[in-house]
Amino acid sequence: MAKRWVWTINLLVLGALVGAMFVIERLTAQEQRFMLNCASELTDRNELLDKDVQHYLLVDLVTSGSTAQVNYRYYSVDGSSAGSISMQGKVDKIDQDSNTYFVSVSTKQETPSVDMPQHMQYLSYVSSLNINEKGEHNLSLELLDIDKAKDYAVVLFQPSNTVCGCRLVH
Amino acid sequence: MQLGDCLVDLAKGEMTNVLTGKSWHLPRAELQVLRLLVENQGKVVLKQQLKAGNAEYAALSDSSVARAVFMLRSFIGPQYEYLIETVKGKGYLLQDVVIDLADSKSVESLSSVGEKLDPAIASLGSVEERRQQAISQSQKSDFTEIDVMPCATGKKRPSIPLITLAASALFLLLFTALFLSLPEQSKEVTKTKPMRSDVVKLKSGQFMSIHLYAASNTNNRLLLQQSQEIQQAFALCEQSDWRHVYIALSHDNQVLNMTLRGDSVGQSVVRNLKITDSRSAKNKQFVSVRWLLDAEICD
Repeated sequence: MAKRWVWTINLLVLGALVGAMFVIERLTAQEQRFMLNCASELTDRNELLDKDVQHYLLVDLVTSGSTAQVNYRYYSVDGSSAGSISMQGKVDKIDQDSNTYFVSVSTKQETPSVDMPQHMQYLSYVSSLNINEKGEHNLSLELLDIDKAKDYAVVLFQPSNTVCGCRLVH
Repeated sequence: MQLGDCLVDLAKGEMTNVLTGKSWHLPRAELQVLRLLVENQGKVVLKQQLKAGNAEYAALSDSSVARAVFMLRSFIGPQYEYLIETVKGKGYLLQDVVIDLADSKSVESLSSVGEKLDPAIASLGSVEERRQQAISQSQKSDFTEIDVMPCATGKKRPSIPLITLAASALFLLLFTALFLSLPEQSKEVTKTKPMRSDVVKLKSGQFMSIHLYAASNTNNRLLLQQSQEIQQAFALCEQSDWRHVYIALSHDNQVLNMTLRGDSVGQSVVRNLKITDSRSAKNKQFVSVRWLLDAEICD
């Protein structure tokens, strides 16, 4: 009986060590970063002013392991900042067949300005609504067209149904 | 009686390690030394006493005594070898922790050493019950059938079930950590296909593909209308670096997204246009042919 117990303990400890190595290997293997950088020209069709209002938008998405960060930075035509939204959350799921990342945003910080584009106003409103009511703002990014050789991808954001051409950043 | 993890039967001249199940029939020198040490436990036994002969056996040599002590220590193991202490220049001393399992006083004294005892015995009720339990264990002739043996050395070992439980908990913890920390890998989502794809021929004969993305196949009139404007505008271009155009209307019909993709001097180029129109639905006009040409979409 005593010998059996000693063997049992040894095997359990050995199993735990192997398990620990497996977990460490998996965790470190998943720590690869995925970075996207998307630049857009924003145009607000303004009937009252009878002219369009132009801004620029830079979106950075960074995932590292299970954490995710999305930064929206808005600029006026003269290059001055027109506000920013920084969102933090986690990657809930990665669908490898469809190249889709499911991100759940739980916190955000905003830097408003007097010259906020309509895009920022709407994004701020929707994300606040979701975070305050549900505790999270969910979005998915599907890589519709990807060319890794040229570091390029067309991304479809849902549920907003937005397409955007982005650079893949190493 | 018990010495560390070993049960000692002096009458039979046998010692059994209860953890390994290994039994050892004590040679004469070891038996003589151990008997004298047990009889005088807690006291120094002089070498002369240990090696003394009798009518039946001749006296032992100094080296025989030293070897016997060495062998006894080896058998009881490094964890308990300190029980037989060398008193320099005099002899040896057996620590007063040997338990005579047949002696009620010895068993009773177990309660005074508290945590030194194995819980199996310590948890028993009266002194008499503990004595009976101990005796019944010691009377198992080959000793090897005893499952859990007390350790009376003052070093409390973690119980085997506790170690098993801890190892199992570690397993559970590791795999829980793994599954909680990693994003779920799923294969249930299908790749989104464009709602519609068209080809536009430019004045130079160059072709350009137009892909429309919609979240639903219903109420896409505005998207199709905007697509027509875009196709007409590109049809007016002499030529263009753009090869593919991706168009999507946001789910609230507030933003028209246009992504142009192409190649220029061997480099991949991309341009994103996001046009917001907050006017009422019937007055919305994100883009027109004129507006697109002003935005220099041909370049």
